[in-house]
Amino acid sequence: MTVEDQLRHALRDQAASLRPDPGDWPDVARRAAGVRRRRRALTAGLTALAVVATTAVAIGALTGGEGDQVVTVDRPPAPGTTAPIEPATTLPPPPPVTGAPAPAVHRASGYQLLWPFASLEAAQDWQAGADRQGSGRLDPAATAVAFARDYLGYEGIDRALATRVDGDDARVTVGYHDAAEGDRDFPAAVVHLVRLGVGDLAPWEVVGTDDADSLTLTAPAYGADATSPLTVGGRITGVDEALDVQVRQLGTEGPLGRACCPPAGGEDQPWSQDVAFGGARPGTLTIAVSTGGHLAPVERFAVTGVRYGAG
Amino acid sequence: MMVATSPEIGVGPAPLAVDLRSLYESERSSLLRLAWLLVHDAAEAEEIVQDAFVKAHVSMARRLDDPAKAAAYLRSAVLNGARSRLRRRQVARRHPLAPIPPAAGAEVAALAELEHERVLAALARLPRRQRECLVLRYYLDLPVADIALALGVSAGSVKTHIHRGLAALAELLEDRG
Repeated sequence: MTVEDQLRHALRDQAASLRPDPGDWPDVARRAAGVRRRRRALTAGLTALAVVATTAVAIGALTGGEGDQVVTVDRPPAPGTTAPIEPATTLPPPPPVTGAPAPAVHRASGYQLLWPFASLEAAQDWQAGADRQGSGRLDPAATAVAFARDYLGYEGIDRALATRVDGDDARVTVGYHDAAEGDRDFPAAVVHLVRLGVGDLAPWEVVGTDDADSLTLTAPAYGADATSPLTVGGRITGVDEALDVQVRQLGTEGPLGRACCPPAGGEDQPWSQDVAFGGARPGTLTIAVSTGGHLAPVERFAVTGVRYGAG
Repeated sequence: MMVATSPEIGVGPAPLAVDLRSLYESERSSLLRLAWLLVHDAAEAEEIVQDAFVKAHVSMARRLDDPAKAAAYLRSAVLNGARSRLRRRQVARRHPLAPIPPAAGAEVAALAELEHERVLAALARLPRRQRECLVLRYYLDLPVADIALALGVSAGSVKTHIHRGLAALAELLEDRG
């Protein structure tokens, strides 16, 4: 008997020995109704938020105008994992720009530089190089997708669903496509980028992600000093989630440390995971957490940046 | 187009393009066995299949309106559910899956059964993707293209996993033989 036949017989006989009960269809219908109710509530909430945001923008446009386009170096970012606790990467002042209509001050100070450049100098070297055209670094959407897919290794995260550029800041919603779930795109995270350098030819740099209510990464704090092992944590809302935590550093192939996959779930429940890492050089580390497995291997993720060996 | 409603949930009609309840009655056993072969736990298999139908109910009410895709969708949902369960177990159990225990009430300790247990124990030692491909191929008799669709990988990748899985299985059985 061939291996195929042995396997076929074993699987079928074993499967046949299971005697399923009739099941519980009302439970399926009841739970599906609950999911739809929650989704409707979420949609209503988001719509209300959109109305508020649109109103705020309209009021700003009426009362502000061009004078509002003041760029400051350390403007506090929105709450979330991207919030810098303290300046970590000291960057030199930008070169003077003669004839420029605005003081194009770069915004990188206070942020952890996660990817693709480890420093302003590296970005400037890239900017001066001949290969800068066509690399996608001038496109925040392409940079955000490459960060998730190529650097973090989230292969399914292969598209930008929305891009919002505000001066030297950009927020890109990246996500995945699921053919089975209605053949549509799903968001996984909002990647925060800043322009690293001066002018339109300055590349974009990933500095973090905005926290979503459903998955946050709040420990360690953004910009904190990190040593191994590291306790990583936050809050999560979901069902049957399995968290995959990794520590990465620019210039190193693969993660320096990884912890997979502590179970998590519930409504706004705390999660925590210790992760050991090795081989890090002094500089910035990226900590990423992802969850998925229902529709795609990675359905949501969040990142933060910490310092290693700064002392 | 057939329209089914969900009177028992009391939230108004849900326009299902397929009769999901009939699918539940006709496909549940097969999906349950598939899940059981993957996670080796009857209670977890029940939950995985139940969750898959909940997702299908929600999806079909909103957008999944092709009845032909329903079975494939449910299979994918079961596979994803099984993976999720197995990932959660990895932390607590850092060794390969234990073989499926004999079914309750099975009292025939024939040689054939022992041989089957040996094969299933070897199967449990294979990498996850190879195991999934072999179960889909040799339990459900799915063609390579359908396995690729269910797993979200290329047909070539499925062939590779099946080839390597069978080779590894043969080696394991030989070692133990």
